[in-house]
Amino acid sequence: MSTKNMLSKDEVLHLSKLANLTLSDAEIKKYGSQLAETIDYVKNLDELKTEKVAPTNSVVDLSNVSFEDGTENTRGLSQQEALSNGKTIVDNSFSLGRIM
Amino acid sequence: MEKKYTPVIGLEVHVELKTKSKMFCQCDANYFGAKPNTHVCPVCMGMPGALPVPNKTAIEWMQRVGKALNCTITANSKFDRKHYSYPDLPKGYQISQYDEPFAVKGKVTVKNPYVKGEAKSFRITRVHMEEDTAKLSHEGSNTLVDFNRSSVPLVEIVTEPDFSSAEDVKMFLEELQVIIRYLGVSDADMEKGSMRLEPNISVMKTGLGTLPPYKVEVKNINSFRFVKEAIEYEVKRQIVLLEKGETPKQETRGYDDVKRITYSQRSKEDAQDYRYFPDPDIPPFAFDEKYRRDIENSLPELPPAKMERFEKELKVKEVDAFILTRDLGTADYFEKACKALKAEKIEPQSVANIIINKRLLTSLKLEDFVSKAKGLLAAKKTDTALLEKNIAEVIKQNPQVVADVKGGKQSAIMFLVGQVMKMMKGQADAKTVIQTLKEKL
Repeated sequence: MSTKNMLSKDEVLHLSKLANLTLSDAEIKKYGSQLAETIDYVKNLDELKTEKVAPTNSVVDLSNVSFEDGTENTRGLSQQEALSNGKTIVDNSFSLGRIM
Repeated sequence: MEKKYTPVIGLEVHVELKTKSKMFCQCDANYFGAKPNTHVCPVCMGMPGALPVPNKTAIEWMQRVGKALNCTITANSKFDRKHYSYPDLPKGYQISQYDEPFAVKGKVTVKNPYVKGEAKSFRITRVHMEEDTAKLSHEGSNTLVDFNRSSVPLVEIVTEPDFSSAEDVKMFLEELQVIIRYLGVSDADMEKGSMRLEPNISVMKTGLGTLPPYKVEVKNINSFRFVKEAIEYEVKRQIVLLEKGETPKQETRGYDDVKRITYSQRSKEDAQDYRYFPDPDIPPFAFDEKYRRDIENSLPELPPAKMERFEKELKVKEVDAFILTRDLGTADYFEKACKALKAEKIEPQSVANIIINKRLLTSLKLEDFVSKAKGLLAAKKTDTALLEKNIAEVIKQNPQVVADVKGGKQSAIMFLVGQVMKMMKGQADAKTVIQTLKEKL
């Protein structure tokens, strides 16, 4: 599979911003070609005849799955459990460096 | 200067539902005042592999809101993921709705006797269901994250850009708050954050048919008081730029209620940058006709209908009907009181006067209200024949005072009023006494 259509530097930077990733110059180049390859791969779908296939947004054969309000919470965590993965805890909250 | 330009304003209003459980997990949704990170589970903390399941009641309540705003409840719907990176969003996406919301195309007509002119209608684009984000607090060198609010059910109401002034926005919001409280699905309290307003504001040259090529979203408006201030400030800011020949930037701005200004927060993403796609964790929804009819039938009589009925059937003045229907409890109490006092031949308008002008509390037990109301009205009911007879008597007995009044000493009339009231044993309305006395002098 050829990768004629490298993504431009601006396109990669835009995607990295949306994904909240910081990339080095080398990575920008690398992902430019890798992402183009990925898009080309998806283009294989163009070879399939899909006119008669209805748009699908769920592959499981289920609908209207819901729970009754106020029913027992079996997945709740204690405060201690909830905070146990945090790197920095301040006042029983997850702490980041100040963002604004 | 402002006449040359017309503001074009559309609204996004978020309303937090007061269900018992959260939107996609069974954690307690009532987080107000709770210790940080105590109403949490793997779902609302966005842990890998945790599966969200929608809250049935939240969806029903949202659909009732949609119906109350005269929307169509859609037969097919689904949840989508809306992606953006922010520390209040642990999954990196918010579960929301994109192209198949639960309710579409509504209209709210507001008839407010305190606002000049005809009733005004505002179109509702859509009403959809989503989840609230975690709460961030910025303290010292830290930003703290509390997940208690994460995944609390949030209804988003989107309007068409049908507003051309801050007054219209305020009037609409007040009506919306009343409607939502009638439904009993939320406190819709702006100060507590259970109702939040994000106006999209732009300004166009008056008379120009096309919408401006930009819009500015304003966030952080957390009280009714600031709604008008924030919009008026933003409109003025944009007019200044337009006068300079510039086009205001499309962006999100915050409102600073201390400095009373809006300030730039971030450039606004386009919808495509949110990379919406159907949430594969949540199967789609289908609602048959019966279900949708039941939603419609579950609505209480809403404020505009109630107001009209009070005016037409109970012959209550428009402004009083408006005041009485601002709160469902007051409206119901008023009707009960009217029924109880009907036997005493007391008209609904008199009951309205007692509640609105005499401020007799609607928190009283009904029988106490009835007896106090009868007392108030009895005192007011003046026996005119007796009054005139007593006035004649008082005038006869006090020739000097009468002469003083006639000579221009207006204050002396109060002595005569006092004498008349004494003879009436208090069973007369003071205003009527003064008026009749003046006529007789």
